[in-house]
Amino acid sequence: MGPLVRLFPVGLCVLAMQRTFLSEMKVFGVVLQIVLALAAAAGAGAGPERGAIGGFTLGLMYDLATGSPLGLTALVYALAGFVAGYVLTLTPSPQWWLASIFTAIGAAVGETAVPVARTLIGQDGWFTSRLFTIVPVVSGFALLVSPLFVPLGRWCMCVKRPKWKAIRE
Amino acid sequence: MALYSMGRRRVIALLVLTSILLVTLDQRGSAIIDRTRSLMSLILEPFDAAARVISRPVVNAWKGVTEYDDLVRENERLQEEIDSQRGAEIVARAAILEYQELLTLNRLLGSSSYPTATAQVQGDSPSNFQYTVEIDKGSVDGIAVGMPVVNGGGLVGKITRVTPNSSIVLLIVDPDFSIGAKVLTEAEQVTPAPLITASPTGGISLNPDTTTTSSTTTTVAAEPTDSGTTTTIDSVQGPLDPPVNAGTTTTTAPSTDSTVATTTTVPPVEIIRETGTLSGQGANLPLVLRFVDDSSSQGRVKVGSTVQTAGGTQSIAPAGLPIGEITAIRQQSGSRAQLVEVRSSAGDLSKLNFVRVILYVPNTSGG
Repeated sequence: MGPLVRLFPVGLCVLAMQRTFLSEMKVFGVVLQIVLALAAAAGAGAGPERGAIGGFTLGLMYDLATGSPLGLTALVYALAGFVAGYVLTLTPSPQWWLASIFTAIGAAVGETAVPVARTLIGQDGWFTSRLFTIVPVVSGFALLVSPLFVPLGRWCMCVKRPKWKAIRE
Repeated sequence: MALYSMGRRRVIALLVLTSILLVTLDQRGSAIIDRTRSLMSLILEPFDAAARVISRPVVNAWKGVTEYDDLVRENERLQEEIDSQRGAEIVARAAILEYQELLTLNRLLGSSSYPTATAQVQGDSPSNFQYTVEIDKGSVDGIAVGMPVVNGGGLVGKITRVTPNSSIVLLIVDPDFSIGAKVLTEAEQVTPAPLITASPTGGISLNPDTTTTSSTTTTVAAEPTDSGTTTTIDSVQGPLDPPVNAGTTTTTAPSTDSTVATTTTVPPVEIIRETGTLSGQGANLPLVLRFVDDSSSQGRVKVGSTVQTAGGTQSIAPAGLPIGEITAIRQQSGSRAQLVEVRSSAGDLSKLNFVRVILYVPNTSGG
């Protein structure tokens, strides 16, 4: 319950940013996906399961706010959080740059999965060459904001960064 | 940490199943989901307003940096277009007036007969895989799902979601957009225009499947006068209209002949109507029109033909809303069907500011 209490207000603020100025400030004609970046960052900060749950919650909020089919973005963002969370399988306390790279990978996977999911529910026509522009731009944006979003995602998911202590003998 | 532990599998399975359940419920239409969306919209309203106010200077600065050159070029291009269209506008106005008169005469409803609600575009689609805009009018203003949305140029899209104070418009370029459309083509003059020597109000036999607009020009050589003028009679005649003298302009030419010779030239302009389904392909790509009857379109539809909404009891829009014009006709491989590309007359949909929602509800009872 704790993560939801934190994730909901943060998600509302990020959604408002997504719906207002980020939908107008396009880079190479691509809308930057800040909610997806947060979902992936939550995974990179809190691990695959929590990342998937965090991504799913943010995706549900996104679907409710934007009118996309309910559950579709939730599934995709859950995948993004899950993939980004695999950084914790490499090391329990990843460096900031490693977490950033996995956030970017998670965002790329998530953005690529959107047309796949849409095709599965019968909304085809999204597999175009434009994907080669969209995915790198969205992924690059996630990489840029990840130093800020990974700690935020960790806080939202109620996870503390492990601290290593020397054991005295 | 194991890659696929039992707990992890459960989480994945649960999330996937929940998603599938929600997507299914939403696609089938659920009142609970609709109410939840409205609630979410209400909760987000203050957050959106705050974000807009805070980000306005940043957005303006960003647009100033990234779009200045484009805007200057566009401004120059539009100025040129305005200059070239000034003359055409006057002609078009006259044609619209005539069209309205004919509709009134025949007691028909034109697309401009329906009430509209003007709305401002609040924001673009937040997704890269959805071509929508949000407008600032909702169910409080009488807007309902399915209503057509237009701008000065033509059809822009249709309403897909409505909350009390805002609505989502699915743009015409979205691959999910689909609407019945008709093509109006002027038939080629295969044979030389028939020369009829008759009175200018004489009846003309018409093909019942087509509408023929006859431009009748009559030159009357009259008694020589000081002023010297020619009589020209233009009449527009439909299949159901009684023969009438419409739009008569009289000029008399100088002539030394004392007899009156009446010569009427009727160049037939046959309007061919082809009906099909129009759908989008994405931004910067033309719309695609697929015909209901593949064989009917063979060789009859031409580049430059006008495309309008077809109307009908099942259509979301009334008949006659301009959609665009045909820019290319391609033959599909392995099929007789033609792929007709249409350029939207609504202009650049990424720069919409004000739109009009036609408060039109299709008469599905057919009455």
